[in-house]
Amino acid sequence: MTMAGVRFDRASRIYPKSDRPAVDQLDLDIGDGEFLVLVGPSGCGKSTSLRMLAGLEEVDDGAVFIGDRDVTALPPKDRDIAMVFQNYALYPHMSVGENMGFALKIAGMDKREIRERVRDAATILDLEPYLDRKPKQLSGGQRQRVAMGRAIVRKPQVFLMDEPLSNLDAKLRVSTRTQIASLQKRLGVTTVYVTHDQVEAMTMGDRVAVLKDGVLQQCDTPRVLYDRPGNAFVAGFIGSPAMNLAEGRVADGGIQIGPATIPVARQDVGDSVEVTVGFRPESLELGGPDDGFAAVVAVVEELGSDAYVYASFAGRESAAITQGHDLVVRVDPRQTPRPGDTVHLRVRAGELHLFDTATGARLN
Amino acid sequence: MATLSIGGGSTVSRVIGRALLWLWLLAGLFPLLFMVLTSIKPEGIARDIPPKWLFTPTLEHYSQLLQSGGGTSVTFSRLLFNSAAVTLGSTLLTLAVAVPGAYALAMRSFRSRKALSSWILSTYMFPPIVAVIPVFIIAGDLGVIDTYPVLIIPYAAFNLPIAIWILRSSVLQIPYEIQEAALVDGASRWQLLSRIIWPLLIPAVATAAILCAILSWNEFLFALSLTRSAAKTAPVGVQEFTGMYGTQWGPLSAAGTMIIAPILVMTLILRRRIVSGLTFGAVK
Repeated sequence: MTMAGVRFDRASRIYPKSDRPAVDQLDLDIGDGEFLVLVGPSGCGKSTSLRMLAGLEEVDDGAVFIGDRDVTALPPKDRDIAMVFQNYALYPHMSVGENMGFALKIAGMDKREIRERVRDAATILDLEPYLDRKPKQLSGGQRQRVAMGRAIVRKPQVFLMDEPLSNLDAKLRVSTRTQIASLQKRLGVTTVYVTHDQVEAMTMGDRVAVLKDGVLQQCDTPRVLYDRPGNAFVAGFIGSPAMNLAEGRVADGGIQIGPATIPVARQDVGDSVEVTVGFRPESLELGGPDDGFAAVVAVVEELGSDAYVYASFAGRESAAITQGHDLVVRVDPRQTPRPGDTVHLRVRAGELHLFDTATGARLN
Repeated sequence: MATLSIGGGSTVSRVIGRALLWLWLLAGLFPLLFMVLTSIKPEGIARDIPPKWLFTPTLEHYSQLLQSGGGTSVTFSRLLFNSAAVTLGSTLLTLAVAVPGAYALAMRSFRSRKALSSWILSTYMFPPIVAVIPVFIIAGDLGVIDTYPVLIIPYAAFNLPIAIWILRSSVLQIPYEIQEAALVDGASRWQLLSRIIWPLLIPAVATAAILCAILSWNEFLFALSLTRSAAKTAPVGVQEFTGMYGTQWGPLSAAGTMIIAPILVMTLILRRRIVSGLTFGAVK
């Protein structure tokens, strides 16, 4: 089996009657055998990018390569790819076995070999007892596995997956997530996976590409995305609960946010005046009365292993009702403050993120 | 709160409603029943008023009819054969055009598909009678009067809008991703049509075929104007039993019964399919 990487070379898609590109000059280099996740809010162009790679969507500008082949103008059938659709798109009139063997049959493969390959895939996916059933006789999870099976019997150069877990219930989604990731590692086939769920992206991807409004924001390992988000959007998108982001102005000794000042070294902000400060819920520590800044606790969420405190900068409690809370703080679940308490918070050294408010670009 | 469900209400009003429906049904079925009874009454008592309800049934009208005809020298069995041939021909022609047409009109890459589909359906309102004279003149020029094609082609033309509409609705009901999955699986456009779309479309094709067949089988106006004897159809033959010297009620009702029978049987067998066809696309 030959394998191959995938390369998007300034690939754009502009829908007719639309002035804004759905995918805007996407540059992406996906390594051989890599699991790459495209993630972003709805309408960010992640599915369109995947469909451009599949050949289901035109490439209006730029090029798409699979291995060394320029596939920009090739129809889907000549690209040697297999795709798993969000709604599975199983052929309703065919049995599970026929669904999985369809591509091989079309390719004119010997019947015995088709049966062998289908059986092998069915064994991997625990589908052997269902090979003669029709899709409508299967549960959602089983259908999802048939869609996976239909892709893996092909032994293609690239797997494309378009939100394959979004129709499963929460519990099944978590278990299937790890199954897909380990299956991909075992088969070693280059995989491009689309999801809107950043947890899925972080847990499954070797690298994660974050898109927004058709533009690639950042593509890196989950660790780097989390620790050094390239801009304010990625900072707010990756991580759950989300990073605390507060807009402020450069002032003496730090950034002024409402009544609070967060100490920041002058050279970290460069020439920017309007600066967005970001820190993750776990980057905050409870300090003494003279430490950091004061905040008023509104709600405490107990999750067992953790507890999250939702708070507002002191003096801004009333705004929280309409605008939401300023801050989320992770605290020791055995020592939680009470609602109404005033706490003093301090950002751990080196865990502060600074972004230019106008451009969103990272400053430090 | 009062019940708002359809078919709700008190038992009394439901019984009254049922009774009214039954009355309506019987009133509607009575002419049909009377026709069938008349067709098996012996010659002579068919015209008696008040009608006789007790008689020895006979099939003499049927056997007489199949061997001879009404006003022409053509036997009624020949007319039934013509009707069947024209119906089959026009239904096949309709489907041959409507299936690919419906698929094309459901394709996302076809920009004006919605406007064109609505326009095609709107042509269904076109009154066929307007077309009779031009078609007669054209057919005369081509020398095809009194042949099968002169009926088959106009019937297909008038059946096409409804057939295309039914088929297009059911193509649209097939999730688009299924087509995309087949393309990614390596299918050519033709393989996609023959192995994925066609098998999923068979129920809708059956529905469209039934509706087209019924319309063609019953058509009277074009058949009357464009045929004389060789291609004459059964509905035209029936009216020839009404002549200058009175009406031959026995053979007339026997002919009517024979025309209705195949449609009635087909409708009873496939009624669910017909109704679902007529409401295709009504509810998403």
